[in-house]
Amino acid sequence: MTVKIFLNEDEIPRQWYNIAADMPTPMQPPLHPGTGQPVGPDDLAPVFPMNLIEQEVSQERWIDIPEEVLDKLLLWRPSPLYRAVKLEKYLNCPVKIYYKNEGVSPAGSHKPNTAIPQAYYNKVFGIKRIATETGAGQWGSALSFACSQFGLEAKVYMVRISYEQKPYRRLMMNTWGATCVPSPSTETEAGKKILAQDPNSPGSLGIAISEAVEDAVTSEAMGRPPTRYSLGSVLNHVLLHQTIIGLEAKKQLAKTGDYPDVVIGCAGGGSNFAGCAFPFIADKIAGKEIKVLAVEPTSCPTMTKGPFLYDFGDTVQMTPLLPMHTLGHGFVPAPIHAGGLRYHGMAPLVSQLVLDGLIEPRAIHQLETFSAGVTWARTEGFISAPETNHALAAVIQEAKLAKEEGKEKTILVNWSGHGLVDLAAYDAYFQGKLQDYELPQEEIENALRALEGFPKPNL
Amino acid sequence: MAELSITPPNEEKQIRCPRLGGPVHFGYCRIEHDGWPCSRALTCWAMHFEAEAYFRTLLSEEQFAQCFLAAPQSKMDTLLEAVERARLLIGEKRKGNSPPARG
Repeated sequence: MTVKIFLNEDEIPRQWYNIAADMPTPMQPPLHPGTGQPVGPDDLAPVFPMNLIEQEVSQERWIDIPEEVLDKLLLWRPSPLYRAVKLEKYLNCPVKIYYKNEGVSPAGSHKPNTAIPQAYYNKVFGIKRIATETGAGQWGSALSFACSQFGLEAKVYMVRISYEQKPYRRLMMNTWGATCVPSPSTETEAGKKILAQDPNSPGSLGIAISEAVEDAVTSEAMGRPPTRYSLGSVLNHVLLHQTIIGLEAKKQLAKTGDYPDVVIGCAGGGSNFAGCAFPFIADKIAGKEIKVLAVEPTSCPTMTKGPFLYDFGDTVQMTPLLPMHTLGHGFVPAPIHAGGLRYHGMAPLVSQLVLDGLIEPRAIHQLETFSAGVTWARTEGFISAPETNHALAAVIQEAKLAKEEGKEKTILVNWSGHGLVDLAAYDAYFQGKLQDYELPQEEIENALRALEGFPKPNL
Repeated sequence: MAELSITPPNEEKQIRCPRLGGPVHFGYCRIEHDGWPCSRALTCWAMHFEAEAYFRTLLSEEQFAQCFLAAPQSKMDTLLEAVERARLLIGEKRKGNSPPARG
């Protein structure tokens, strides 16, 4: 039996798929809380180049992938599609399981799929330098790699506590030529102010974002090379770039003669899930019967329990109101071993597709996800990133469901990255330090009460 | 489930931070937000000790509300707020004034 299905390099997709063109319910624009008006390009221009902003709002179904981007993507793409034959045998269920291996990228995850085009579009816009923030370093390392490919300077503000505790991705960034500094730093006004108050500040994601944005927005005023900021999830153009995953998978599955009955991905900000699922959702919109599962942690149930409202993003009401699935301001996620699954709100595109019934959200407890990850490692061999384990747990659930139903099914899952830099999470699992936590319904209802009276999108 | 203590864990006790994607110790969560607790500390530590009761004894009602009932900013939210701050900073620099206070 064939285990790996490859595409030749000349079979790599040459266009990204923009699902905005096919949305049954057109996307509503984010609103500025100050004016109540849609956020325009000028609001985003200080941080993103206009060519990416154009992609952000594009309604074109297909967007050409520039040759220069393809040239870089070919370093690891087309990524292999695997048939998980050893897991199938272990489960003994009437299913074929295919997985798209996104762990083969230089940075070890799906993140470079958007880091590469973002670096490219910045370069052709005349930008010489990109600033970003990172927590444990998954996005920072992906962007560092991408900038090195295009000769751009990368500046990564890494939350100090992670900078000191997690050296491996920092060293990856350095190896790719990026400058990675602990945040707060002495290089921005935001950082200096924090350090003046507390020279030993361990930093936070909020401080690091402030520093990266200040770096970008003030670059020209401060005499630095033209600089923009980069974000690795949530935004439409990020999801667009990731669709190369699903587009490749469709071609690879066509070689096998199979088509998935179920498509599964883990969903935090939504980019890896969307990248695999959106090209198949296009078929679903056209009438194909297919189950599309977005898997999230039970402890952070944005899609499975949150309603769709315009959510004030911050306490001072300075930022746009994005229509997102949300649990409201008061929602505080429980600890989850899922580095990428940390967004308060799901990507608006994914949220709308949930509302339209095209995506089925599912929440899974973290102990089940790690159990699935260990089963995967002991059958398929690869050690998955903690967030990827959510999708693998859903694969096992669906396989067992097929057995119960007595139906033969084909399952496609996006294996979004390896967990070789996240082994401490496995250590905690093996030592019994992890616990399941489900947000009490009362707590959810209290959080949602805070949103009463807020404007709601037209549904 | 055994009844939890109101006594907080050792400052060095670690859990994985869902925002950073790596381990953090309790002492960090207690001061993550400019010296105040991380907005997620209640839920993150709820299974380890009576976090809510502990923080209610530590903070006034108003402080508790500011720390835990305000919006936990997403990356996108924080980004756009930071743009406004940086724009103000440029404006102040052009006027020759000192940079505006953060936040």
